[in-house]
Amino acid sequence: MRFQKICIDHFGKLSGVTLEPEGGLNLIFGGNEEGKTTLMAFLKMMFYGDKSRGSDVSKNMRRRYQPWDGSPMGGAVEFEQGGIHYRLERQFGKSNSTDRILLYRGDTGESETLSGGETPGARFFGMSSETFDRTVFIGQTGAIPGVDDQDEITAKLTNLVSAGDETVSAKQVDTRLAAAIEQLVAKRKKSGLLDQLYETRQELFEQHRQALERERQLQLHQQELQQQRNAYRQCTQEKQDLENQLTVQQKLTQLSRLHLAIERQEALDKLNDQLRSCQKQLTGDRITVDEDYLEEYRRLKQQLATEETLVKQRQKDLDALAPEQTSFQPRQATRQDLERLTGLLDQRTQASSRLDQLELEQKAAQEQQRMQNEIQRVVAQHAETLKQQQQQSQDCTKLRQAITRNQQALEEMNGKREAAQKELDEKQENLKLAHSDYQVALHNTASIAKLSEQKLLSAQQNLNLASEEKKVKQEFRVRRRLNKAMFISALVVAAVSILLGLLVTPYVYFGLAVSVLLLVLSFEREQVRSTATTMVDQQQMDQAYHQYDDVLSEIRVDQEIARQQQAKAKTVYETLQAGVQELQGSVEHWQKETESLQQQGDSLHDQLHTQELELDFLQRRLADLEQRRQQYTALLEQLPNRTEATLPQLERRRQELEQEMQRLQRQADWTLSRFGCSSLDELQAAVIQAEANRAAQSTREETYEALVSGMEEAQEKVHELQQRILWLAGQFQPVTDLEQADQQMDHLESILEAAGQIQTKMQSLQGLDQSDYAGMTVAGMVEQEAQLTQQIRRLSSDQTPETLGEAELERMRRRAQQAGEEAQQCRESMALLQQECVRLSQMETPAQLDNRLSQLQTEIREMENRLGSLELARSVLSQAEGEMRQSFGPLLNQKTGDLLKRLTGGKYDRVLINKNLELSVQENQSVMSRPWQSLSSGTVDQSYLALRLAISELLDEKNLPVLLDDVLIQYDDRRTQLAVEFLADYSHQRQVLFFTCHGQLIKQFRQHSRRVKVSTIAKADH
Amino acid sequence: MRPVTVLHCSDLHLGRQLPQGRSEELLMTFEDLILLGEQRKVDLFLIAGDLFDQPVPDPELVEFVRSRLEKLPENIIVAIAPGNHDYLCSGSPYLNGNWGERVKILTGQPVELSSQPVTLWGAAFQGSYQTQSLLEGVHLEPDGRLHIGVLHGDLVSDRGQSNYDPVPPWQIAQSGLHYLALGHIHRRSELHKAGSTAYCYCGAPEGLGFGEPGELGAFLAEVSEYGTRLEFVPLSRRMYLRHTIPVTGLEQAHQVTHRVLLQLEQQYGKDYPRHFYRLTLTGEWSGSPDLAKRVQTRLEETLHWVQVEDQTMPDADKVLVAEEDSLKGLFVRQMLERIRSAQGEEQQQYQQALRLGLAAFEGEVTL
Repeated sequence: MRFQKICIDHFGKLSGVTLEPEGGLNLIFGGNEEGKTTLMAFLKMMFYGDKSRGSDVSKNMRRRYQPWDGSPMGGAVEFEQGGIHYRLERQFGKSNSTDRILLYRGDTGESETLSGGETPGARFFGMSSETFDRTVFIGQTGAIPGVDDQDEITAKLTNLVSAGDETVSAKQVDTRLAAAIEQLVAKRKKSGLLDQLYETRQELFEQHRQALERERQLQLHQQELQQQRNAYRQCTQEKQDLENQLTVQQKLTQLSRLHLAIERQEALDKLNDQLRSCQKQLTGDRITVDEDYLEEYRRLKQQLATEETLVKQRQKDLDALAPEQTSFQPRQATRQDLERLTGLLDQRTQASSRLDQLELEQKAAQEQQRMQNEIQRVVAQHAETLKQQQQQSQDCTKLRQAITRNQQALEEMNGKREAAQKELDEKQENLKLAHSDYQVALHNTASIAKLSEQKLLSAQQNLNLASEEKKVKQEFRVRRRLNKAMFISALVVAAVSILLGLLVTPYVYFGLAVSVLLLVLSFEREQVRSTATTMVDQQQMDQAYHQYDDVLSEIRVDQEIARQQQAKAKTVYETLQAGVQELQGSVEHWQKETESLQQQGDSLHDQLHTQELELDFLQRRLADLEQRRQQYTALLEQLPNRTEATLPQLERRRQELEQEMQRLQRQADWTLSRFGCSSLDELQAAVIQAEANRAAQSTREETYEALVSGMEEAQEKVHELQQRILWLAGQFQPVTDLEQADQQMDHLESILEAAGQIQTKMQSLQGLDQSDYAGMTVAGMVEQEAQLTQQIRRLSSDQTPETLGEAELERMRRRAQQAGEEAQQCRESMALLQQECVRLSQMETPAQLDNRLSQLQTEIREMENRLGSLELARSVLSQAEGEMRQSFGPLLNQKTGDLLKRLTGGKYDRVLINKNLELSVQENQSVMSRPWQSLSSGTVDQSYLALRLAISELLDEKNLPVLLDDVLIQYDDRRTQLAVEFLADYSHQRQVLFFTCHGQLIKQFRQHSRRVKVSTIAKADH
Repeated sequence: MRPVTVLHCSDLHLGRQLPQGRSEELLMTFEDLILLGEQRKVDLFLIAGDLFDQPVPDPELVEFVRSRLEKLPENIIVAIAPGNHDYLCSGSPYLNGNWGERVKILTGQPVELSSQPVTLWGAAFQGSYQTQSLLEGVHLEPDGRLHIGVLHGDLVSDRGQSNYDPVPPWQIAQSGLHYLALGHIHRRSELHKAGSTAYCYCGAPEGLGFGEPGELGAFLAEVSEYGTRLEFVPLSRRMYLRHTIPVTGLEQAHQVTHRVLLQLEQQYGKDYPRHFYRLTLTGEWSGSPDLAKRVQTRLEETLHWVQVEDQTMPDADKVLVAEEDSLKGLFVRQMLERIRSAQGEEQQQYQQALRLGLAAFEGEVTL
């Protein structure tokens, strides 16, 4: 291919520029800022356009080379390829797709279209824009910037040595395999399919662990539930038993009441019979004796007795009135005595009513005491529960703090783990680089060994050559000999001259000169004699030996250096490897720590949950206790007959009252006994009597007379009364005399009194509370008694249960209530536990998770197999690529080495190029290769120029022109000279467009080549 | 005493969530079991564990099972031994459900039946794992009755261990049972004997995945004091089946599809489309690399469910001849060397590596 004409309409600062390069070497000369680089960029953009879109002008060629005057950017290039002339016109738009490209064939004049988005560069240069930059388009920078993603150069180089169509490079295949691996195990973020499966598996393991924990919890709950059921049953049974016992006691009480009722009823019946008998006895011939009858009789008898007494008294009075006797009379009761006694009795009555009140208060106080005890018990429970609650709260707080600490530790651990992971990734990258360096060092060592061998062989050959005998003309110097006669003569002359000079005349000292002359002449000149002989050229041999030694020592040194470098690279590699392993261990350790902390955190959460449940339970219990306390307090408030006094105080007061009552009674009894009375009535009568006596005495005299008259009246009255009494007694049963009548009346009175007592008894019996059995007969009560007894036997295991005291009953009631409350608590606990059990049971079980895990493991195994296969494929691909590279690598090395040798005048003739197109060079006669980074910039330029030209020669079927943008800037004079010679020579086989701002190069080029066309950018001519 | 006819099944896993309507098909298979019991006039219906998939299943499901069991004739006794999936716990339908007199939930104590000369024994899992044998220490003395056991467990060697009720044969021999109906393993076994006790696994009546391939169902057993006779009754509505299809000599995907359908019809009859298939293509294939995907797409038109895996090998000789000196050829050569020198799983892995590598040469590798 050959450029024939370049026409720039508008491109950057260039406008209306036309160049017509020729076939060989073309120098395009222009000063700084005249547009050389612009022109090169124009050529590249004509064939490849520009895909960059950014606003950075340095990277966006379209922006960068936008014509300064705003004209549309474009131009044309005419070129020849394969014998066909083409004209390419292009007007640049905003992107490649909007560029207007026209291609014409010179032979037919027809326009051609480029197929399927193909660029003119790909069509005519047969390479991508990136490859173009790396080969025939040589700017001022040295090294080829890395290998592109498609690695087109390597693919094309591979094509050289393979028989197949390498449309895809090893790098592409490796990238695809790596992409497939990345799909499975992403390096970062663990987002690959296999990573996700591992994560899922980890989650399932965790869920499994949680499921096992839930199952364990469920079993514990079930055990607790069973315990609560047992406790509930026990409490319910106990409550039932106590209630039965209370019912038995109630029944016993009823039974005893029924017994009493039966007894009463029987007694009533008996008394009724007795009463009827008495009434019968009191029924006489004409009347039935009653109290009125007897009262009448007694009245009459009283009257009779009174009258008789009156008679007697009157008689006595009469008798007494006559002789007055003074005798000792006991003190008689007075009204004051009566009042005093009444007072005593009143006091006693008051004391008795106070005693009754006190008993009520005592009962109330007992009840109060019981309530207060109950309240104290509840308060104590409340305090204890509160203490437990506080303890529980503290425990919860501690747990929360522990959880927070755990979370912090977990975050810290995660951070450490991630940092360690990051460091590990970095180290692994470094390890790869170290491995690469190590490989290079190994390769170096091998090369050095080979070259050393060659050098040694060469030195050996030299030595062998030197040690062969050769015909030589041996020259040797004959040593100066001494002419003794002349020497002695000189001495004699000297001696004589001296003697004569001393003795004779100083003019004889002239003889010394003669002696000196003789002395000098006595030493004969060295003579060189030569003889022909065969001998070993010792010098040459020495030189050969020295050279051999030098080579040996050089080899040793070089090998030593290479070995050291290899050892160093190995050490670095091993150190990094050890570091990586250590870091992996650290990462695993942090991972384990993280998992351990997570487990700890989960355990703490579970404990906290349990504690919170317990706390909730305690709070409910507290509320319940408070409620009960309030209830008891309310009951206490409402208690009737409340008192502030304590039970002992009340008991003391009761004892005091009883003592007071006894004292008052004793005083009353003494008072009565003083006057021979047994009751207040008698005393009252005695007092009246005493008053009457006193009144009688004062009127004794007045009444003596009246007594006499009255005596007769009284006697008459007595008689009348006696008759009446007899008549009254006769109404019941005839009597003959008063005595009989009295006897009869006594008898009747006793019967009536008995009947009265019977009636009183009956009344008192009937007055007892028999509301339960009112109207029931004894038979009915006996039947009910039998029923009660049966009920009692049914309820009580004891055949003869004992009646318990009230305190015991109260205790049983309290215990029953307590048992009921405990049963209720058990029920509530059971309900909560059952809820919890159902909730736990409905969650996923370990068996279900086992199934899921089993399926997941199968999937993971398949994926891991696939991953293994992908890695195997990559590994084998790498080996195949290495083998393939070995086929074209030496070729490239050889070609580049040859070109470099020409460019450097033989200083560097060997290069090694790695897969990233980085090279190392070897000086002639040296076994050491030096990487490009350690070379001077001029040598780097030379080396990469050689490499680019070598690649383009190997790849180029179309004999493409080479474009060089002032590539000799960093060359010294000698290098420049060599480069000029080279390029002049090179231009014979390919068109070279050399852009430069250095005018002296024109002269130099012209010296080496007649076919140099010089053009300037400013002028479109020769 | 007259022989007793037993319908032995296990591992129904009712309530398990499965795709493609399989959950409902499990219920239908349970109904088929009930019908089988009725038709064959069995005396006992034994369910050896994992009737439900969860210990506390949906109440609607429990009611479904209860109502179906109620439909059995009065003389059929149902015995259930809870397994590791439907173990006894609070909320378990076995504790709380109203199953009636005919359904016996076995929890370790022998149950003498009044209507038949049979003593039933069975035990229940109390959790997902049971590391101690539930049969340990069980010995029923001969008493003129038939002793039939129902147990969910894992047969192990004499000192073997298992998380799922490890049952060594010597404990079976000492149990005093005439027949032990086992559950837990989803594949049925032959009838074995330990001492004078016959025992076997009936397998699951309906498969749950490709781990349970082939025809599944239940056992009808005739148990007498002289021995036990088994009859397998297939019940599964769909089978999980694996097949290898050689494609050597074929050149087009539709040819492969045709061969597959023909082979399946020959083997499984007209009903072949209803089953689950996992097909592996083997042999030499030089056509398009997405053969498996294309064949699967075609087969999905006919089959209920199918998954096709490509394990074909490219005609390596062709590749070598055509691309002998190319990178691809080198790769194939080196791979073939490794394949020849490897064996078993390693060889399969190399084969897969060769396929994937060649796919990478053609374009993006799809997993």
